[in-house]
Amino acid sequence: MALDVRAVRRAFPGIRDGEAYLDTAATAQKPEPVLERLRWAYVEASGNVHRGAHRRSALATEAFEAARARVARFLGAPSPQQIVFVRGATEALNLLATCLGALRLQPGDEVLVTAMEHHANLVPWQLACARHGATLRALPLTAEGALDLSRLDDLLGDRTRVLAVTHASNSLGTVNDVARLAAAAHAVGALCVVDGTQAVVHGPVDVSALGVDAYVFSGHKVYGPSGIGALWARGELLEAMPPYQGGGEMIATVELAGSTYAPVPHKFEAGTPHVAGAVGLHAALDYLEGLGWEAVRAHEQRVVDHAEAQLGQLPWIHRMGTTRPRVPLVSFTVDGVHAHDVATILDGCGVAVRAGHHCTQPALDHFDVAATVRASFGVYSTLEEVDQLVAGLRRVREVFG
Amino acid sequence: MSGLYDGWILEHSKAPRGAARLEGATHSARRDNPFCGDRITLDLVVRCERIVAVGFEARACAICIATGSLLTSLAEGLAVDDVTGLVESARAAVDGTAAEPPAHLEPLALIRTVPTRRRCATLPFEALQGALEDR
Repeated sequence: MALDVRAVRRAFPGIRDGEAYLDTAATAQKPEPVLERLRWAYVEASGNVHRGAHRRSALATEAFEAARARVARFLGAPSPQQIVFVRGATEALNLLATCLGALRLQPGDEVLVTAMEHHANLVPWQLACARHGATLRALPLTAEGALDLSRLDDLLGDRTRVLAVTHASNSLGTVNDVARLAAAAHAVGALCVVDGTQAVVHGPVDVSALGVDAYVFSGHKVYGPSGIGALWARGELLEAMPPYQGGGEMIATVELAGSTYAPVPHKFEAGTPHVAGAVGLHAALDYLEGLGWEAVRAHEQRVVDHAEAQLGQLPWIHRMGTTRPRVPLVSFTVDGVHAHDVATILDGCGVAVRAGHHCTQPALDHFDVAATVRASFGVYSTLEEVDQLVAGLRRVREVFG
Repeated sequence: MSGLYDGWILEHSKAPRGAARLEGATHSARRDNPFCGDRITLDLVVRCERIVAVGFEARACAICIATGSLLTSLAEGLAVDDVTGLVESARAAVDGTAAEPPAHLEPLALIRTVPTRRRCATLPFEALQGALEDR
């Protein structure tokens, strides 16, 4: 079944004809079912979770734990107890760098990242390495914006404790073969941590099949609420890692002399969680998977193919990231015009794009550019919006003559 | 948006004044805009507590380059003691906190129409102040 894009667009009150929202990789718009469930969570399930004997508390707890099970199913995780709710992928990666760092990193050890990582999967590992006297290494990129796997054997060795890699690049669109990378990491006794933020919204993910050790994503990029995200990690890692933050929810017993901790995943969820966010995320995953992955993928591929074909006809456009398979985004520069000026003029033409380094400065340094324009697509994107983008780009060239 | 790219910003960005590093600079500063990766390096020659030459190199957008260009003519000849006043007035003109910017800063008021781009215009002024403070 092909995606009924008209119906999809009607489901998103933030999507309006004439305004081309081409910045879904930064944050996705929210469909009505998500907004309805947010309201429900604040009106009906409006008690605190895991405490209180009253009906609203019970309802909130039930909805929160149902969301955990939904996320586990979404990721192919063996158990809901291996899902930790966090604020987003950034918090998840900080948690992993901090807690895995404490568990595994010793002076002289190494952490391997890649040159295409979002700063969220780079800076936390720099901090962890500094804390534990470990060394950070980075897998470089090829001219097409893929990982240079010919360097993997040099960089991944018996000192490597963690390989932290993105499933899909937010600035280049490159999709990485994380199953292969995880196998290579395991071959040297390292763990493989994956930032799935840009991948989970465009196709099914099965962490068990990928064979990775930890996988994280943000809710607001899968048509869910902001301020909620999820971390999956192997059960034995969650058991072995020390807590991240202390407080309520995460304890078993507390005495002045010391405390014992709640079983996982609660050990990692100090304080009142974002219950409404989790409920909204549940609805977002239901909505997205309800559209059917095959239909979603076919539609998004059609839109990005059209964008690539149209941009390919403009000799003054230079694209960064041209490998396949890719997530549906195009990143490019315009001859003689800075990306921010492009984005401001496009905004005046009703086209919303992202301009900048996309929190991936090393990746842009690789292409020797300070900023690119990025148009990213989602389930509600249309071929007409791509045409509106191209018309806007022609206008940019007129202005800067 | 209208008007942003059809006046002084476009003219100055295409032919910026003072857009080169200065040999024999007495003061320099580099400033980055972490939001977009824009970077400006600004050089000054200061003699007897007065700015006698300004030059800059920018890897930046049209607004930042045009503002840098405007800045060179505003800062040249200025007493070092008056720099803070210029930087504050420029910031106020961009932010809209000065209802009526002085005539020489009036072009900066155009940036108010695009709140997401204000930092592009204040970055050269940050570099100016930084050059005098950094040493």
